Amino acid sequence: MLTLFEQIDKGTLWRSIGGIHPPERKTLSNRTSIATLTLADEFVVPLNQVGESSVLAISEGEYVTKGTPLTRGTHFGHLAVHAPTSGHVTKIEQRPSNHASGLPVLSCVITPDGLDTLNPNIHAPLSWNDIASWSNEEILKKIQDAGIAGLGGAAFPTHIKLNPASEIELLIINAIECEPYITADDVLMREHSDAICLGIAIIYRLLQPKRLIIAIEDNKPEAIEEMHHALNRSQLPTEGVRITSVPTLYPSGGEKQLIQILTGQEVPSGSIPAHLGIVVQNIATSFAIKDAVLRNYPLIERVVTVTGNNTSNPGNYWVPIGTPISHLLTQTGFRGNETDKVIIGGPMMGYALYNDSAPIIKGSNCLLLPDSKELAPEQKELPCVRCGECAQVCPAQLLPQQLFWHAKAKEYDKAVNFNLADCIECGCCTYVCPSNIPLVEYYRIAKSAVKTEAEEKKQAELAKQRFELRTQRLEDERLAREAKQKAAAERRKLNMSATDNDAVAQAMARIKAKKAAASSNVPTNAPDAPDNKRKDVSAAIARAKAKKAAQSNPDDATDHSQPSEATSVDDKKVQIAAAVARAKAKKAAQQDSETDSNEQLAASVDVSKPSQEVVPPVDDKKAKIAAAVARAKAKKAAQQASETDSNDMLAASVDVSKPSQEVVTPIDDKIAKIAAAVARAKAKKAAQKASETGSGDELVTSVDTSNPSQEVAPPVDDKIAKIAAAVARAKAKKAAQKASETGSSDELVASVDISNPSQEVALPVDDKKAKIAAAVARAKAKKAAQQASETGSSDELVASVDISNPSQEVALPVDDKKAKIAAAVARAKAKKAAQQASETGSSDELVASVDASDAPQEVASPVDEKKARIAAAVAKAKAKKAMLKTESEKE
Amino acid sequence: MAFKIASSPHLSRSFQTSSLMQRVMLCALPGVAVQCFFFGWGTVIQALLAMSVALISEALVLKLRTRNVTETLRDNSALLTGLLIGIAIPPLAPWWVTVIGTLFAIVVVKQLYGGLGHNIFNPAMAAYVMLLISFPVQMTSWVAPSVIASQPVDFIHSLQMIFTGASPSEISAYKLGFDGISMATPLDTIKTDLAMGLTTIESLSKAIFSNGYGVGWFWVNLAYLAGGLVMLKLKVIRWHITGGILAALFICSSIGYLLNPDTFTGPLLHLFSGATMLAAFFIATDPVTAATSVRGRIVFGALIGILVYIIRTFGGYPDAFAFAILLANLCAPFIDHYMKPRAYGHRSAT
Repeated sequence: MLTLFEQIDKGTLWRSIGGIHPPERKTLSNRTSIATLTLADEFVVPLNQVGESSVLAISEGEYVTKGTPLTRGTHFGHLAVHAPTSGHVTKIEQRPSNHASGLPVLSCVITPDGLDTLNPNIHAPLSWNDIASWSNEEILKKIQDAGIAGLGGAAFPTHIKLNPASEIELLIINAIECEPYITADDVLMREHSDAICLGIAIIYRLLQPKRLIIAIEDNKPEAIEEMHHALNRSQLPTEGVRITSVPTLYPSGGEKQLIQILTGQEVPSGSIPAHLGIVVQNIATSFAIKDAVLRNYPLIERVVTVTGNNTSNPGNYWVPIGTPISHLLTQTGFRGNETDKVIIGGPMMGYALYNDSAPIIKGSNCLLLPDSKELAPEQKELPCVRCGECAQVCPAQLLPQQLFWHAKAKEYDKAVNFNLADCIECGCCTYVCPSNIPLVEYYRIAKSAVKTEAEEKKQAELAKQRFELRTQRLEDERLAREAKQKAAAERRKLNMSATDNDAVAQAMARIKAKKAAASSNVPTNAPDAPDNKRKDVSAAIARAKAKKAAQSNPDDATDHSQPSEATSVDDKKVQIAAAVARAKAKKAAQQDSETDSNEQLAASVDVSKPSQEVVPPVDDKKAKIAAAVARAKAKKAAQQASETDSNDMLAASVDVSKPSQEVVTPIDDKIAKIAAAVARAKAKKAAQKASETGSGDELVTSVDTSNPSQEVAPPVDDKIAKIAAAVARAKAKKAAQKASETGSSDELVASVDISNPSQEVALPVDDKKAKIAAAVARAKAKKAAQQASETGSSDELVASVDISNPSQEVALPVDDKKAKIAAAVARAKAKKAAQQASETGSSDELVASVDASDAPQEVASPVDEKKARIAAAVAKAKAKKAMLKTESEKE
Repeated sequence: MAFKIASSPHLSRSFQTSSLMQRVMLCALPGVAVQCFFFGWGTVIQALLAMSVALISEALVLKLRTRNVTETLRDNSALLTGLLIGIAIPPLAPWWVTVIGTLFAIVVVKQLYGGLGHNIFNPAMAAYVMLLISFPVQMTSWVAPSVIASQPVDFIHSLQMIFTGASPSEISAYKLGFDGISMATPLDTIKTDLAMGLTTIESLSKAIFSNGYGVGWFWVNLAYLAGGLVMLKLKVIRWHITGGILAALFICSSIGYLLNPDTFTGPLLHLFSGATMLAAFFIATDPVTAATSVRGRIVFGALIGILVYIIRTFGGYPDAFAFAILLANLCAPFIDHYMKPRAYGHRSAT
């Protein structure tokens, strides 16, 4: 078994698949030497890359010499273009392109001065030895600056092809020229074989391949002979370099087909030859490379075959790039008219030109001017008879007929399955089709449709993603809104029916209390002589009995939260008893919470209304202390409950509202307030700890500190009360902040509700201070929200800062102006908080709902209403802006 | 100046469907001539009758389908179908057999499916099977080859018998050999003899096998073979389907013959009797109803060859090309699906 290189050295050729033998008609044009033409009146040099990888280097009116670069590269793929002759740049405008479409392209129009002055950069040719010391980069730079492109037709930038990422083992110089009629390479080889070999030597030096094959079709014996001589004279090594004569067969000049013939290898679909270690270069490109490297002479002219029965002087011509085709037609004696075709390229793959004002470009190797009878007459397309001739000749081994059926039926996905993309559009199938079906045209349409389809699919996918994101966002917003409304509703409910709290929670607490009673000892109250004591005892006994009853009848929910003593009692004891009961309830809850398997645990510790409807005079201080103790216990219970990690839902609803509600008589309000504050602080701690349980899927830390001094009847030391409320709020804030630091909770609703701090304050109060306190509280709430929003990992974070109705229903003459200002300030701060919250980029959806509305609502007394309105409006506007920013950042 | 534009390629091998069909018909002429020599003018009359009916019926359907009549008729496909039906039908079959068969082929099998290029079944073979099942007597009454017939048919008699209707006794007169024994086709003879318990050797000793392969039929097959080779040379057809059929038939019959020469006929008799060469070169190569890829066509041909051998040997009919071709037509899309060639640069067919 010979290695590939040994076989190559032997000259082995592999079988190529398919192919046809169209009439060659090359002798029309290859009998004369390459001629030059007179200069055209104007040159049109297309500037295709301007705007993509290059910028203009000249401007209108500028004088350019032959070889002046017209563009400057901004990108590696830049392919320089140069002035083909000396003269003035008269226009830079859209001109018809040398393309099947004929669409206009930005072109540089040069009016020659007829002197053909060379650019000073172009020098006398250097010798091979002069460039011996040059680096590869220097040579590649020369090639790029000269704008060398593949001259076989595709015009791919040569400097990229000659700088492959992988190592090159085989260099193939393509001199096949398999298309009928074209003889540009043939004649160039006959006349400039030495220059070509020098160019090949430069490529060889760049790539350092192990083997070099110059492949020439066997219908060019003169060229083969010339090249053999030149090769012997050249700098190329004799070992591993050969000229291979390839049997004439169209399209063996195709890059992939030539590789298959010479090496038996196939370029994998979607890949390039360099992946096989092979580079294929056109022979005319080699010639251009020599000029570029040794003379600094850019690619500004090329050999063009002008042939066909419609020209009186068929032959090959040196044509400057940019020469209008009309000039070429006149110079070579075009005999045709408008009913004839002017074909750029060969008869198999060339395209018919619509407008002859288009210029010759780097890839134009042939101008075919057939008369009406020379090529295939136009024939009607007949139905496909599935003869399969197309499949026989397809060099890509496709099934052209299947492709045709699917392309015609617009079943492009199926056509793609039949490897539509591998079609090289060589035209063999159309050539042999007995039914005159323009197969290649069908494939071109299908290919562009597939391309468009892919593009549309991409766009549709993007649109879908956008839509889904939007739907998701709207849904999340809706959910957040609903959650907020629900919270507000609950709050309202609490406010409205102070006596009738969440019955279910109460019932559950009672059941737990009952259970606790079942497990723990029932404390016995020592009966005493005094009236009051007895009453206490009787009350305690009643409670104990109730407990027992509950024990024996578990379905019966006993109500021991409202020991309804109507007469004057020793309240202290009553309170103690109540406290004891609560403590028990706590223990019960604690034990209950230790059962890890509970799916839902509503640890609702209801310590509300401890002294409700207690008729004066009472020892309020003590009562308060008792209440506070009870609350502390409730807190502990909640804390322990929250430590049960397995609970899916934990609603730690710490309701410490209305501690001193409806306290009618003059009381030591100060102490009461302090107690309430202490209770709240404890509640906060409880919530904090609860929030530290990272596994809870939903954690609703609802810190309800509303209505601390609601319906406090006059006269009260309002100032102190306010301060206390503020302190409580601050604490609530801290709680929310800490709660928000628990990053793992999926949903965290930090609902900081500090509404109605001084609602229904009915007496002359030091409103100014109250307002300030409220403002401070709000500012703190803002900070809390801000910090909460910094927790980036929470998927949903609803920072609902509800600071509504700060001074609602203030019924007395107040220093309204100041109050308003304070409210406005608070709102502004809230806005900022929302803004900052929205900057947390990682949270998927962040609903920063800043509800700063209705601030001065229902202010009944004479106030500076105008100012208040303005302030409110400003606040609202700011809030809106914050929302807008959040929105825009999301998008 | 603005010029005419057209999509590449601008060159075309000027070889049209019509000339393709025309060449097929021309290449069939030697076979038709030899058939006439052995079986009288009936074949020509039937062929002309079928071709004219084919043209008329196609023209009518095209008119109904509001298609261009003259341009479509010019593709010669209807003529070829008519010719093949005429060749396949027994020379002295009554005219209405031919007319019904041709109408069925053109109207139902071809045009109702969408015309040329869209039919699933080979029209000539579908018509032949329809006739064979519907009119078995008329369709199996072949005359004795003229060289051994007691009473060769002349042109006038052929015309008379075809168009005025002949009684079975009249036809059977022409089936008599010179020895006065009624003759069947060679394949029919062997089938009957084997069924009667005779060995192939004994059957082959009969007059119809005087040259070893069946008098007349051998030469008819040789003529079609020659025509077929010319078609191959002209690249009117490619070798894949024909090669597949002949190779499969040869291999199958060789295996059978080697296993038991007494009950299985030899490969040469299979290749040179019945409709083998006609079907292998002229009928099965109908591209419209065949598989499309190279490998697919070889498989398609081999399938026909195997089916023919199975039906000839084990089935109820002496010859089986019509059935085998129709069955293979059914399989063609399936074969195509699994026989996609590996495209350039692809590891395997996708």
